[in-house]
Amino acid sequence: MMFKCKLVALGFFSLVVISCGETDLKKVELLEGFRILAVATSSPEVNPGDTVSDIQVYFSDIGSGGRVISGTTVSCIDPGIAFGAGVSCDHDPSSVVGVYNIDTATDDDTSGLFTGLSSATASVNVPATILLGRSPQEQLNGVGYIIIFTFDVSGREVKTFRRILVSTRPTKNLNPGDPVASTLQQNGGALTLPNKGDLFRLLSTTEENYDFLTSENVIENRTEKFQVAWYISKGELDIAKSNVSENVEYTTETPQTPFILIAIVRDERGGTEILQFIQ
Amino acid sequence: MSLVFLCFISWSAFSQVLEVSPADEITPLSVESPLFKSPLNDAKNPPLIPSLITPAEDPVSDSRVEVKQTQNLGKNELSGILLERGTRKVLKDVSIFILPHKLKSITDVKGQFLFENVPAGECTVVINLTGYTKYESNIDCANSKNLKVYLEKKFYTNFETTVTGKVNKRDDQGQSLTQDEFIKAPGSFGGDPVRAAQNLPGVASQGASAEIIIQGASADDTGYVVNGHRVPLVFHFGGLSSVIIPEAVERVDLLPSGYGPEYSRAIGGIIGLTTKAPKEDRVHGMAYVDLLNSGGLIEGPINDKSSFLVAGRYSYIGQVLTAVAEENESTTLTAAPTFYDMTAVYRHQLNKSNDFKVTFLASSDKLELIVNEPFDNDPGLRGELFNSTKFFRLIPQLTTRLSAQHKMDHSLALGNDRIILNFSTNYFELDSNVLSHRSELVSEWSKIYKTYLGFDNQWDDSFISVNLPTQGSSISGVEGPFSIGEERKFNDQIRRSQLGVYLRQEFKFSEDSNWTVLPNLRLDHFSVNQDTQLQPRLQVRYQWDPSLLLRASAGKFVQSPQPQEISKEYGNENLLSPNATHFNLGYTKDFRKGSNQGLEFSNNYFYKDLKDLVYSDVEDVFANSGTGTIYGAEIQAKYRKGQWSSQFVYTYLKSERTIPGFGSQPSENDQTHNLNLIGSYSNQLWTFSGRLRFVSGLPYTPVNGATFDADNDVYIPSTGVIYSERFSNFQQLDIRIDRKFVYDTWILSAYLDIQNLLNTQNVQQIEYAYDYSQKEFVMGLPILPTFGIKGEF
Repeated sequence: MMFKCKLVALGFFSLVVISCGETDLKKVELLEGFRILAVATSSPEVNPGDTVSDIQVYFSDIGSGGRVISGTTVSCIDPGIAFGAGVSCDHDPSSVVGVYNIDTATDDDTSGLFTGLSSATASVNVPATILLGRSPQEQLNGVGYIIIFTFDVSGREVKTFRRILVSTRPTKNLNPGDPVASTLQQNGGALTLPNKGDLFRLLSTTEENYDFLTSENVIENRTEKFQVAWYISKGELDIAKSNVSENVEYTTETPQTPFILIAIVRDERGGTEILQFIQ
Repeated sequence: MSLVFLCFISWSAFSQVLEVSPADEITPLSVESPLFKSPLNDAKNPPLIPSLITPAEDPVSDSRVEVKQTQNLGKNELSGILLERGTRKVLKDVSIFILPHKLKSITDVKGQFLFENVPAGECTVVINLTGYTKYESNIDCANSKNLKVYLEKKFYTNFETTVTGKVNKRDDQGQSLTQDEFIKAPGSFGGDPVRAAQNLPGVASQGASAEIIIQGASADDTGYVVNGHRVPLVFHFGGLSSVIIPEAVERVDLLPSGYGPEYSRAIGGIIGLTTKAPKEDRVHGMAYVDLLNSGGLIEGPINDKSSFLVAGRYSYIGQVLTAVAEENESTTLTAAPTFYDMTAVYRHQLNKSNDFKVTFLASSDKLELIVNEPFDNDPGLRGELFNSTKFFRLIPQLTTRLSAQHKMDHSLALGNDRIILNFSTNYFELDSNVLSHRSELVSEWSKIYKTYLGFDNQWDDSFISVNLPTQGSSISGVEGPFSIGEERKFNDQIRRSQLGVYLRQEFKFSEDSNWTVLPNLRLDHFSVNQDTQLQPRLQVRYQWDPSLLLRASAGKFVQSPQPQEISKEYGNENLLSPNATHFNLGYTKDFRKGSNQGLEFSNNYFYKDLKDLVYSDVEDVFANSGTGTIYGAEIQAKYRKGQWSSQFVYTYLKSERTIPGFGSQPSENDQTHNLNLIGSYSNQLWTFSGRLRFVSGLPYTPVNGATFDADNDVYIPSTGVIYSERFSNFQQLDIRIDRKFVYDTWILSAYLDIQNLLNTQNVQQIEYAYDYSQKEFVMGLPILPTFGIKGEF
């Protein structure tokens, strides 16, 4: 339980400091139970008609002792989630269904924390006609082809999705860390079991430039801005999301082992890089 | 014979004056000159004698009140002026007596009085005026010229909740609060007129919201006008204070369903503020300070044809927030939130036929902070936030009396609205020049037929600069994370016109007919969607007897789509104009028989049929897919007896919306029961008042689960049946204590306004965990005392 004043967002146009009080809501950075943290692929952006066959779920299942979690996939053209459409493929008669199971015991590479990249892979075949009839902006900037994963976790439905961006852009997006992997630092050096007040940060040099066609039909050359999501198995961080090179403070006492710290870098265009430290 | 008769009359008058009841008290007054002699002028007994003024310090001194030299030894002149204590209001036509000489004088229009041939020696001045404390003072008649006598009112605290003074309003579908009424309303944060309007029937209680919800409509369906012209907002941020200092407001009007043709573009209703006309008798001033803000006002005549008013206010509420935020690591206020506003009025009578008035309004809100800790369920929202909202209006008004039967009103509003909202790399900036115009020709063709022909036009020339993501569906009221939207970045110049013409007709069947029929018509054209709408409106009144008025109305009301809905970047350029048909039936029964004591009761029934409402749409972003109905009843009973007054205001309503694919459900503002109980007690200098509110909890849509968006690292909520659950009922007790300290030339007022005295936990909002698996109710304002003092002269 913590006491804080909340700046509650009532839509972007009306931010209001509305209340002070105790909150018991769980912290976003703390890993507890089964949770999907990312869906990775080596091809976040493709051409129409391409196949992406290395889609993997990055999960955490701390405290489970390891188990098989069965799931299904369905892939289709993005129904317009950014405009409020539900996350579903019901609208697309050409949607493709599949099976995707995670064994959190065998896929655990974190010494009993049951956290890692699933060995199972999912595949999508992007329709060759996906950009037909689309606006110039949609063709260059891309439209989404989504894959939805649905898992049954002890009777509870856990659902996630990611987009594969389909565009005519000549130079496709690469994941952050490609070709030079990002690095994690703790107090400017190597990572160890953290003490209270230690500062983590992620360093990366792979932000890409890319073309973006505005609604006024002007091509802008933009630079990616990476966001880093931080997760820990014990303790608290002062912020759960940071920019590259921004310090994130570990604010609680030194945790017991095993301890995991995860940093997931996103480039806001579907590219993902996952870094983890286990002690 | 006639002399005897006159003596008899004089003696009768004296007899009346000298009838002093045991309850009467003699007003203590200060001594400003050692020349006065009083038997009570010692340390134990405050003096009872009037002040002496010199001609130099007498602001009303003129040739008519000259200090005459005594011609005859032993015979003197005694002159002076009679003013109301505290307000310095001139008291005219008041009888003043001098005893034991049985002399009488009556004050003139300037309150001046003169006694000639007053015998030298001690005498007693006696004034007994209804509504005022009896005045009796011993003075030295030989040395008493240019007296300034202050007469003290018996009550300086008239609480006007139940007083229904005839407000000069033409639309009896509406309700008005005058300054006397709203300035002391409990729960109004120091007399804010719009907050006080929330005590009226049909107005929803929304906690500290900056929006006014009328009869179950949406917030966007309420229009705000000042002196008849649209303003972009009526509240400073947080909804605590409206954008005009209360003392500069003459009245606030609420026009809910079925209002006349003078206004449109608001299918929910209108909140209108009217700035007051400057006082013309002398210079008046006011200054106040309270825990949230301070301000002042000065007004008075410039010459015999012109007068002015200037008022301003500055809020330091930000310093309070800063103090809170210092302990809060999640946000850092880099500059304290501030707001200020200014109002200026100049009035000039050009000639017998033409009156000119110009009003200037300016309002500014500014907030700067850094969101250090992002929202858990939308972690992309963080960084520096800067928000500035400013607007001004210059409103010249010309009233021309063309003849005994015809009057013409013209007014313009020239202004600028500027909104800047920067949050991290996202921004929205609006710079809009606004010109609006109203003209109205009032013609009384006969005793039974009167028309009002008018124009109501507005032009906006706006430059907007936007870098924002698209927003998800709002049908359920559960907003998707900001981070999932697709970026929209553009600059645009938008020119928009809203043109309106109306004809109001008041028709009686005969001069003494009890029926008044108002067949009204209005035509609106909106350039944004090239839509023209004819809106017939009918009002009927029947005066059953002098105390019972029956009324009914029906009509069509239209408004243009909201700017973001019809934006070519964010919305759908082909939207139609949302519209509504209103039906009203009601009556007012006044049991007071011409007095201000007793009961006044009104009852109103309303039904609204809403069409072409705009909702989010996956295909078209926005579509005219919604319809709705609102119906309900309002009861208002006001009762006053002696120093007690009370008011019972109750609204029952059902507000439903139907959206294809989602069925019918309550609207977000469906407050089934809304009860306000207001009471007060006043004595000479104290007023105690309170308001108890009970309101049904607002509906909300439950969240059943969420899907993880792996690209944006957020969860997208999935909702259950729309608006199928409700917050707990809203209950709040507000009290207010006012105390006046009356001095000869000014009044000091102090008040304590305590919002939510019982510290009731009223749900304002829901906050979810990052994955929507947990929720917490965010409570509204806790107990909030506000203390303030005000001095006025």
